[in-house]
Amino acid sequence: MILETLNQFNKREFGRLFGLYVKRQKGVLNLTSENIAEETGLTLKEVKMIESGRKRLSQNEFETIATVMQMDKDEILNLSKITHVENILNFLREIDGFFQR
Amino acid sequence: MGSSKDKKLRDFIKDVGLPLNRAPEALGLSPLTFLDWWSGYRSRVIKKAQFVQLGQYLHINEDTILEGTYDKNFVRSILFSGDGVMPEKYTQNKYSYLRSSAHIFKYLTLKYGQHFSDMIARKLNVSPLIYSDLNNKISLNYFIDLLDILTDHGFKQSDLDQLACVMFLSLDQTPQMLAEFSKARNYYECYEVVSKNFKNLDNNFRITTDLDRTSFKVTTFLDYDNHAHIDFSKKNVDKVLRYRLILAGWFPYLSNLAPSLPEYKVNYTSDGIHCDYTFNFPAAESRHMHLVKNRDSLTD
Repeated sequence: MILETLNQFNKREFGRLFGLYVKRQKGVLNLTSENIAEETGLTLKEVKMIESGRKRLSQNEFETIATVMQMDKDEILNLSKITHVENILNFLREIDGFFQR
Repeated sequence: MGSSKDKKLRDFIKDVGLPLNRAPEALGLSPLTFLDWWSGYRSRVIKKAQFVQLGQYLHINEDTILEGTYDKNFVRSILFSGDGVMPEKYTQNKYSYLRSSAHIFKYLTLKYGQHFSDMIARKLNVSPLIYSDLNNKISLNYFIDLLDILTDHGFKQSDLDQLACVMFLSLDQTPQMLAEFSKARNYYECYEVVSKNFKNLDNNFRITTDLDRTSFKVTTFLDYDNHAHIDFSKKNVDKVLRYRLILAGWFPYLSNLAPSLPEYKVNYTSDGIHCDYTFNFPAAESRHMHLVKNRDSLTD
């Protein structure tokens, strides 16, 4: 998945959902944040920021984490689509007026 | 027992959705001791014996809990297999397929965790395994109550609207429908799939459709006689109709096309509720207006 296909609003929400997924996988794989930092070459602070959805991910970081954490591509795609849907809904609310009724 | 094992056990309980009222028995602890540990008031409560007891309770090897290699679906089937009885109001006039709301629970699990979606299922008095067979049917009351309970848990109207847009989350469980939507290249082909699959989603409404190259007209009728068990208060009806309207406009998203809300008209008569939808397809030149230029960019 190319992160650039998400706009700024989507990126923020995607980062939050991705962080939750990282935390879930951390439990499943029985890893600690320190292990993840070691495996991915990120600092511990960066890993913790990713887990809490506060770090702006680069494409490279995103792909490394997805590989190291054995994340499911379809699940990641679902997360990106959820943020996509949120964005379209907000857009429709702005231009349509229907949702105000 | 070190604190990392405590954490693993906590994560396990959250991941599989072990109800906290059953956890003391599963761990071989008194309710008070368990509560003290769970709330962080007491540590050093969890010993090897608790893992052994939990493994026996769930019919799994206790080492898999620590290693994280347990089979989540199996554990959940052990935990919730006895909860098959449903409230009577959901078993009368069962005209909705469970697949029409499966995406909502998947969304709740992805966004708020397994514990939250299980808690919502328990508030509805249904088993958390209710979605194990999407071909099962349920009453429309279930759906009305689901929206009500989510509202009670702080969902605003904008959050409820979003639930109608994430249908793609459960489509992988109906691969044939997913393939048909993926193949559709324009609005006409997309709504052709919808038209063919109406009966696989919902049979509460009597539906007639009229599809041509420029528009798709759907007339629906919910008769009071066959749905005497439903509370037809304005609040409930408005909620369901609004959800259906947004859902209807969001089908093109499954074919990678921009969503488009239909025009609609509602008539309340003495025998039921008539609701007509008209989807006017975009002009030919914009018919292939996809959401992303390169449709592979989200899937590579």
